Amino acid sequence: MSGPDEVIHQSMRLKIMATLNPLPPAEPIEFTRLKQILNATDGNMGAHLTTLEKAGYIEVLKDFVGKKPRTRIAMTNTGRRAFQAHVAYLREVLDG
Amino acid sequence: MTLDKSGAAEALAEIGQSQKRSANLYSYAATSPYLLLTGAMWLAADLLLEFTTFGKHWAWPIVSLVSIPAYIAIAIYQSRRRSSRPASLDGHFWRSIAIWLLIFGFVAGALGIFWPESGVQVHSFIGLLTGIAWAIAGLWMGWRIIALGLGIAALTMAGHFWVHDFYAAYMGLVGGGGMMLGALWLRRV
Repeated sequence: MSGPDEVIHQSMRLKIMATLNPLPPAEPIEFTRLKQILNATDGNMGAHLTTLEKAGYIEVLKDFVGKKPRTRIAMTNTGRRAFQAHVAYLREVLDG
Repeated sequence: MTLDKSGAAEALAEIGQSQKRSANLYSYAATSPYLLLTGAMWLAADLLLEFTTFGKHWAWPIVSLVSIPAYIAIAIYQSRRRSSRPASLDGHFWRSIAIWLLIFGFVAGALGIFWPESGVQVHSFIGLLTGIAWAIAGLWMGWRIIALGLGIAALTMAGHFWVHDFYAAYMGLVGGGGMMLGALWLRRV
């Protein structure tokens, strides 16, 4: 049995990954929407997103809509595989 | 780091909740443009029916024809936004078309059986059916949709018995406007 993914296992990062996982591949979600869904603050979310981005699990996309800046988050293929492996590990612990 | 069974169960429950909520919200957001378009069609058709002479016979056929390329445009836009692959018509599009065909078939069958004497009866029947359909969908989608459906149904019945002048415009606002409000709520929820 492999170990837990320590990047994903933290509660807020686990929720972020679980929220991104059902979206179609590379489908981004707006930062403000993700924050609203998870009931999180800007600072809290920002730090966890940076950790996930550094691990290569998510991609942070920044652009402008008209003059307004927009930040969107998408799960990468690496992130999806890591999340699935972490879920498999949790199931193994539960079943074992 | 090691985990015991209760820690794993807790984490899996958290994942399950977050995934379910995310999948529901994604489905709401993907469905709302189709509902918005349907509501706008209904409103436009009834306003044309009420306030123009050609609309008495042609409002609904013309609006229905215009809606087909509009549905396809939404489906292609959503497909392109999601993927870099060539656009294709997604499940929401085909479900929207199927819902229209099923409702059309049901309404045609019901009207064939009961043979209403006036356009007002036909309109009220469709408005009532729409309101009840929303309320049923709300049993899965949330109390706001139930309230919206019951509101449309109640206002339709009120209109049927008490609104005599500008009845088509009233129904356009109640049915089409209600559907547009519901679609906007789904997008923001």
